[in-house]
Amino acid sequence: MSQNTTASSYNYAYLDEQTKRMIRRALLKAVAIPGYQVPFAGREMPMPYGWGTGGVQVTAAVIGPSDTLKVIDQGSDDTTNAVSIRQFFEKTADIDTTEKTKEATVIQTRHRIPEEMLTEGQILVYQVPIPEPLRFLEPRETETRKMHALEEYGLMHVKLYEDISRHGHIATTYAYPVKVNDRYVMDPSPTPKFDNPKMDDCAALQLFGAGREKRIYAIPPYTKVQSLDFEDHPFEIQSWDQDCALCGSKDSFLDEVILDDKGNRMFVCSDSDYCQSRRDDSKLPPVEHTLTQASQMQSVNAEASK
Amino acid sequence: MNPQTNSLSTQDIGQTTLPGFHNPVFDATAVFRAVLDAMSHPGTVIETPLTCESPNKLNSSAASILLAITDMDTAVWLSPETDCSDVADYLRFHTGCSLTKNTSNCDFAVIDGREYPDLVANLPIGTAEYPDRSATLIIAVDHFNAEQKAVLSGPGIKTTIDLSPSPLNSKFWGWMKESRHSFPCGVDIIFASPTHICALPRSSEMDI
Repeated sequence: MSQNTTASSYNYAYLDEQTKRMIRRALLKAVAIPGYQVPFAGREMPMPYGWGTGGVQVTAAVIGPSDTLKVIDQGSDDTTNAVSIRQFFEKTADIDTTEKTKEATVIQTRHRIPEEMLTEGQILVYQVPIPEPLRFLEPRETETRKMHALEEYGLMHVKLYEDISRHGHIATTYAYPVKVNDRYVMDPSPTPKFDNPKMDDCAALQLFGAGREKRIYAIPPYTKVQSLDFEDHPFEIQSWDQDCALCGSKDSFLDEVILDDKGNRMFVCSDSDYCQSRRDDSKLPPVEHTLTQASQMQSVNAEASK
Repeated sequence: MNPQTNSLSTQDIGQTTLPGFHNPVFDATAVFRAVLDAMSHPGTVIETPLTCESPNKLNSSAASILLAITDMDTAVWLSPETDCSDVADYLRFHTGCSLTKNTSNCDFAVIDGREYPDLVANLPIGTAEYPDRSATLIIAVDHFNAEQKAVLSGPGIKTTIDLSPSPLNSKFWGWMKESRHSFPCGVDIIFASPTHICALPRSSEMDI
């Protein structure tokens, strides 16, 4: 199918106008009740559930011709999911796309929040697989709904406590539950807990779309977002012994990359734009050079690092 | 049964000579983004991105909000001051929304700031389990430079911000302050002057 056919056969941004209005009304409710999951009539999208159908519907309802879109998957602009969703909106919404966090007005993300601080006016759209933070503790929707209504979150604290009694620390490392505006406990989607502090008092508008579960929720800008914890076991984010092997960043979320079958590995920023712009700024040698160097220099210390 | 109810008359679908959005897709998106911006920054006065040729009793901003987000799935209630055949026909023709006389089952309500808040006392505020099943109230005002101010804080507001829509029936302030207590239930308000909009979602705290 040529690009022309695709562009002219569908409404702008793929969804029909009535669907957009339905999603828009849900979004306004979601913003007005921070952290509450608003049910919406999720549509089938031309991609399987689990590939970001919720995020794509939210983006399609929000985006206009003057927007610049960035799409990331696990922090990277270059992975399959990110590339296909970016191309989807290039085709259906005739939109400018970028890989630069600061140039984007709308950022759709799967599982990461960009390292660079988001600014006022930006919209961050999360792809959410399971929006209900209490779902693995209580499978019945009628019950979890009642628990949210009564602000009954004891079960979640018991879960975190059981983590501590079993492992000595809170072992939840991603989809770490947060409390929004001192009211609703919310699943921040499977972002690493490293990103939780970025949600708090964020200048950008954060929208969450779960396509299969048909829920939309939101965090308005400058909203208190608190990770659940205990006084004697305060919330902590991940840390690494290494710096990023490519850009040397000491404070970004690192991915472990296996280099060969001899146990060599390196740790690099998961946010590809952040890493690249740091390398551009400091005029570091190209990635390929660093990769070879790293694989030559690294000794077999794989067992030591996790 | 009245045989007339079996077929659509012009009264049902509405008839108007006033145009709707120039470009239904992009205009609706632009207006929605302004409303989203307003709702996520309570108290901030935001320019309505376009002007609508609207009936006399409905200002351009209020009309464009309704054109952008109402359709056959939503029921709209018009206050005595805004309710007239021009407005009803305009909305029915352009959006297909149903108009209701009953505030307790509407999704959107439109009222003039001069009117009594008692009129909207029965708007749905949602339930503890479904607080989203509530109405959105559009209050038509002239400007946002009133002497009487409310100080807002809460989600979407960095520190505090003044809310000063005018003219506004003095009873509205008490009604709005009172309705803060039922969070997460409540009514979200969008103030619409002819050129600007400003939102007061239920999440904002309010000091008068």
